[in-house]
Amino acid sequence: MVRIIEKRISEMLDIVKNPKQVRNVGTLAHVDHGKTTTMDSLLMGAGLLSPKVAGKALALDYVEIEQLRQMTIKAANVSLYYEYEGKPYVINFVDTPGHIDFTGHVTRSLRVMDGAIVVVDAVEGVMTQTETVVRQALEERVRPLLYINKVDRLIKELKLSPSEIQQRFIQIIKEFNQLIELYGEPDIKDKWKVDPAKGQVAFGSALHKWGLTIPQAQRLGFKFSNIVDAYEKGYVDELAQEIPLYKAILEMIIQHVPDPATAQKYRIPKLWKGKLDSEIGKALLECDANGPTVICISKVTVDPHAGLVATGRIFSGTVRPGDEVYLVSAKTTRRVLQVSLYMGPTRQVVDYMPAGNIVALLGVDEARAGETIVDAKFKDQAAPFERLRYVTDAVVTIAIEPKHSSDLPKLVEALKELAIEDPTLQVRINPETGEYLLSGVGFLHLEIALWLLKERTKLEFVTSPPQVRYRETIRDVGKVFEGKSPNKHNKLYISVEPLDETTIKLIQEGKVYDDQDTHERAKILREVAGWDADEARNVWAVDDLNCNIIVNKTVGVQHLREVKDTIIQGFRWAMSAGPLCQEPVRGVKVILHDAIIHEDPAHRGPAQIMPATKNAIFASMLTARPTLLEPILKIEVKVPPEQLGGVLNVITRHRGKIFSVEQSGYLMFVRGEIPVVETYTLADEMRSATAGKAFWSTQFSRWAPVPENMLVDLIMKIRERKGLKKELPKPEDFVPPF
Amino acid sequence: MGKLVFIGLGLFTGDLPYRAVEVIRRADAVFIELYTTVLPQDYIEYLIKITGRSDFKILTRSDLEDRGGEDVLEVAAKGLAVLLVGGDPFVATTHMALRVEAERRGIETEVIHSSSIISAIAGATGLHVYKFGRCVTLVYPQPEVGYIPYSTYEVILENIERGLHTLVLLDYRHEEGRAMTIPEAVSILLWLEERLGVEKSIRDRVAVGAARVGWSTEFVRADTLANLREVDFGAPPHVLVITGDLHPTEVEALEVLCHLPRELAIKLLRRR
Repeated sequence: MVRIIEKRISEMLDIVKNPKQVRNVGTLAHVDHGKTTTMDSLLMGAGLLSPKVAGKALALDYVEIEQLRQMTIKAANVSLYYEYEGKPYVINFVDTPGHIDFTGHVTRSLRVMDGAIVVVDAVEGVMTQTETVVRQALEERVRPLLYINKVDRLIKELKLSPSEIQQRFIQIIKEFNQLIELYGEPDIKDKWKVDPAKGQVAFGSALHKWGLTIPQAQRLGFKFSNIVDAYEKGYVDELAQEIPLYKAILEMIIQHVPDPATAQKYRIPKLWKGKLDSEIGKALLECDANGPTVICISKVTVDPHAGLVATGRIFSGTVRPGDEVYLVSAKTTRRVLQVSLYMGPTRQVVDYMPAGNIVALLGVDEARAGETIVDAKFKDQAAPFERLRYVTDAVVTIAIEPKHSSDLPKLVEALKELAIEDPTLQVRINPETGEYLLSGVGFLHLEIALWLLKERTKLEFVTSPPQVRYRETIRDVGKVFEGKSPNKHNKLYISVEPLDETTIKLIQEGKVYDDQDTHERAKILREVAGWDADEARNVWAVDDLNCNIIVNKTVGVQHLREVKDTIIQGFRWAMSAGPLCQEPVRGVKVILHDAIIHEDPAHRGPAQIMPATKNAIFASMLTARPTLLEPILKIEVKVPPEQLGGVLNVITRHRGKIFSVEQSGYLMFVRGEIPVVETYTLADEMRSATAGKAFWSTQFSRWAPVPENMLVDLIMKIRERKGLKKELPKPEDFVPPF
Repeated sequence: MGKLVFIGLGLFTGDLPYRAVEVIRRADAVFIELYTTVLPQDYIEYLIKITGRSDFKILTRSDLEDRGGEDVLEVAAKGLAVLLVGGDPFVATTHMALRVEAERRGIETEVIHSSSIISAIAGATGLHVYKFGRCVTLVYPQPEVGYIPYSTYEVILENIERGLHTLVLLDYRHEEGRAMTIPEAVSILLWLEERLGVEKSIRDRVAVGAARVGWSTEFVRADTLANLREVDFGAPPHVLVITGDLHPTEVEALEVLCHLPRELAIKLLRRR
């Protein structure tokens, strides 16, 4: 049973009006390090906030834990109430995804929080995904604090002595601070290294619900030996009473996570693209509730009753129902229909919500995670927050269809909802077969998506085995081809060349992007990637998703301005499915050299210009030594020395590479990489090769060319699967010889 | 060696020249293209009656554009092929590709011209043929693929600056079964104008809407551009003329033939 804390909505608003009494945080962890149990433990300890209705008995007297868990799983935010030194605080726990496959979500969540509790397993220590999340937090200027979890395992499984436990902590803290040293910006990294003596590290067991920081231990006169004793003598339950975990973590948050007003002073200059001395800029820096409204959306959910719910953080201003707001990315104006604050995991309608807080909005249906919403009056000054960077690509696809074809509309609706909520999921229709295709960032990602789909729709459906998605690219400069429109009245002269690695990296990191200021983009391309000044200035479009660029090198072509956007559409069309086997294209620079455009708009519409563009790009690509890229995963395994051989064998058998094998405590630590396509059965093989003793994790690493000896077979296989002609495509298939 | 004859069907049922009928009767194959112009429903029926043959092969846009009219060229390589086109065949510039390709293959080509909206508009409206500037098509905007035909509006402006009229041909999408109407065209032009942010609106300029020119049900109205949005012109085909500077005899014709409101006519005449 969970304790209920009743508060009037008006009381809540009084607290959240003062940013000093608000904290916006989230939990981050390597998979299985105990993020969910930690969250559970916090919620159950701190109690569930619930609205108090004057003069009326509350329907919700108590909540079962399982019920609570169901509620929080779906929530975009969970707010906790905690009194510290006589003052009430509202602590917003922004939803962060549990598995690394969803790293895109992590980035979006980070945007709206100021501090992060990084959960680290005391036995496994700092792992790759710990490193990834700490790096991402620092990039967003989110302060990471350390919680060392599963201390019970050190005591019960490894039977370490109190001093050995202390050594283990020191080791983990050292590794954690090394990450801050490595990835932190110069002016913050020294301030942000965690010091256990200052209460910036908590340790405990989320499973057994106890936790401590060093200052708390000193205050209570608690020693490691007391804890070890409790386990040995069997009164662990008392620990949860005496030193509850929620107290340790919530107090650590209140003391060491900056309040929103303080955090925005140093976060806004890094996160927001606009002029800091403008009216909006000043309000953002000050977290000014009287300034223009600026909200950054971190998560969008679809509520069966309310429709689309956008949750995000108000960085400045106060939002009210009826406000007219402008959606910067969607480029559209909408009216806010409803404003809610979070009490526990549920939304409660309010009349207004001030800066510094997490808010849920209805009425902004075009908003997606990552959207910036501003007061419509400030539309012209509105700059987006720095573009969210997605560090993962969608690499695995399945085809899905309902068992009963009459269920198709329902299934499609649910698929679309999933993709709204999780932008790293893509839903497409295979134009040849009419099948619905769902793509995600890994086998597990799709498994979870399908589970969700089943839960929500209760429909029966069949899926194909997952297919790894490849990328098409080129290794040479292609010839210039003349792409003709179907009516022969328009001619485009186009060639392709490989995009340099530096530029690809710039696009991936979001430093070069599509709707960027042209001068700014030209400067970066010139100075960082060494582009020719003329070319850099004439970049027409950037395909952010797949890392391709189109450059206009034409001079004085009549009517080009009007067809520019259609040529760009043709470019995007070509990049979305390349000539080899209709896989997305990656790392290609498309150059438009010259064009002849028909005099009359009726003869140069999209139906004419788009195929002309695509065909010329395809023909040129086929003369540029095209190849396929496959997704490669980084793999890390911790395994007892006796099982090391089994691990190495499994990895190398699957075209994997071993980079290093190190001793890490009493375990061997293997780092390497392995192609995604080889990992379908990895879990089973790893288990049987190591008697289940290996801890392992994978993470997307890079795109690498498919080995030459596999290339033609693979292209044919994919073509066959997609119902394409089973022969290698030639330039003449797209542009007939003159 | 074979031959390919392009024959214009004109604007209305029976507008094709008499000598064309002779050619059609003799042809080895007769193709007809229906996607560039709206013809009266009964035209094919009429052709069957007057030529005594009923084997007209209807060509789609994709037959002529994607497959380059191969079917037509195949017949023309050996025998006599005829391609029937609404209006005057080469006002639809698209067919020149086929003629050039035929000549390139050594196939003789011939054209039998017929009436076209390009010249008929002068008769329907009373506007002087010498005073028309560049003609332009208004197409449905497709913002979702980045295609917004600002240039149509700009051509109108250029013509107005030179004091010239603009014949605006309206989008015809045979495949989708829709043809742009005059009220739709006015809305699109004013929408483009708003997005372009021009200084002086063309909404109050005198314009002429002409529906089914050359047909027995021809319907022509002159008024301000904005007012034409309210007129019911009936079924397509429709065209629109945005006037430039008007000669007194043009004003007179607009008033008598196209019901230009008296007060507008007086205003125009006084301005001179």
